[in-house]
Amino acid sequence: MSLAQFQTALADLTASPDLVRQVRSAPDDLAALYDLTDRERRRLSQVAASPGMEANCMLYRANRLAPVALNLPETCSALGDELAPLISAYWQGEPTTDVHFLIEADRFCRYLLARAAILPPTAQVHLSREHAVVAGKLAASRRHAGRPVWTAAS
Amino acid sequence: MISSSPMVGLLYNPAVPLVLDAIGARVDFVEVIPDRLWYDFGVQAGANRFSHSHLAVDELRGYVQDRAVIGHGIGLSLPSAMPLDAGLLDQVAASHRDLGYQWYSEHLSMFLAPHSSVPNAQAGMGLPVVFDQESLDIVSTKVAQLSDSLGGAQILLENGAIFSAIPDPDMTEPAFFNALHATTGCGMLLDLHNLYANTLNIGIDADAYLAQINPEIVVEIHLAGGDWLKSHYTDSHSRPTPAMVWDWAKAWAPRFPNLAAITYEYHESYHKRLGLQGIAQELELMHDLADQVGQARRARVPA
Repeated sequence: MSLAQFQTALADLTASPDLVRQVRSAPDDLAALYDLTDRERRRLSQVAASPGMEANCMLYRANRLAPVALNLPETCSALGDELAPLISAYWQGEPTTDVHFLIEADRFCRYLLARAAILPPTAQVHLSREHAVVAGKLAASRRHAGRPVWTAAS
Repeated sequence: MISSSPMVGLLYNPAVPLVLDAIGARVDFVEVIPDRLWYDFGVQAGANRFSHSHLAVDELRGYVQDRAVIGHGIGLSLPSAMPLDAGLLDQVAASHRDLGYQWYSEHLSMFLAPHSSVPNAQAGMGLPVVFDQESLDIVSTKVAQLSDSLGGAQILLENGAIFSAIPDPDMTEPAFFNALHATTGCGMLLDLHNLYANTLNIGIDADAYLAQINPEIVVEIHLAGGDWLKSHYTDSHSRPTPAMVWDWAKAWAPRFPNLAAITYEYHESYHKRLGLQGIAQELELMHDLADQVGQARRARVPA
């Protein structure tokens, strides 16, 4: 159980620069958030303090941004400076990433649509158009769901 | 010990058919990431969870009719302290029955955690593993499960590129691989570019690392090139193999008696940057390396 908590904490730190900053300034906070042994807490606080943690966070965000940037370029552009806080909040609410780019893009579209009232008007227009394209591609990617492709013997 | 030279091949991606059409005779095998042949809609989708790309699978079948195939997974996250994904495992096994992998590899990195995950983007983002007996037990059990599911196929695990190691380990990474092999027979996919990244990012001593590995366990070598992300070097599969990595390959590959394959990894988004000529050059250098290994083996065989 403890290793599972350790791994969850490590993944959470990678996903959240805010949590990294919190643990760097108050390593004892780990004890309140996760059920860890003393050795695990020491290890995690050292990992959080390491320069590599910044690279972990950066690569996590780059990899998570990729499906959104690829599928919603005009929406991202229209959001401008508002993209960063919006997508960070989305990632906090959806800590489990999806390897299917279209699902990731569709989930973010739905997140934005639920907040459409606070989006700039241009972003709303682009979001509507690009979400329709994403939804179409997503439906197409489901076309073969449940239909076997593999043959029984090689 | 294998008496012949290792095979030379490429990690399969949507751009690799262009290489195979042009210089396929120089590519002995392709290494297939089965996870890239389907869309995964998650366990909640039930029987409709996986939607395969029939076109991609058919195209792949055409290219592996007269060519060896190796399986290389990115989705099972063996070191995670949670059960294996049974549905995903079934798909991997089905792909093996169809394509006939020579062996199957996964990563000694963590991508999944309970209630959390990191986007692997083809394994570019794996989190470090705690090198202790508990992790060894977890990975050993899953290696056995994976091999059973694949009809007893040989399993390899790949050393990862990481930005921060878990401090105060009970054993080194090579010692972990050696112990895993002793426990399960699991081989090592030695990614020399990941090792290169780790020398730059976390100060690993490459020669000390390589000297600790039981030479018998190395079955495959990965080569690749990467990019700098601010002050860290990434395994982005974006460039030719760095000179230092070639130096290690030439020095160490002949010492691995069971080395059977040398693979160059690149991502399709960098196909244009590398160019067909650049990829052909990598393949020729790999064939030179394979010949060097073969010569060393023949020299050791009594007349």
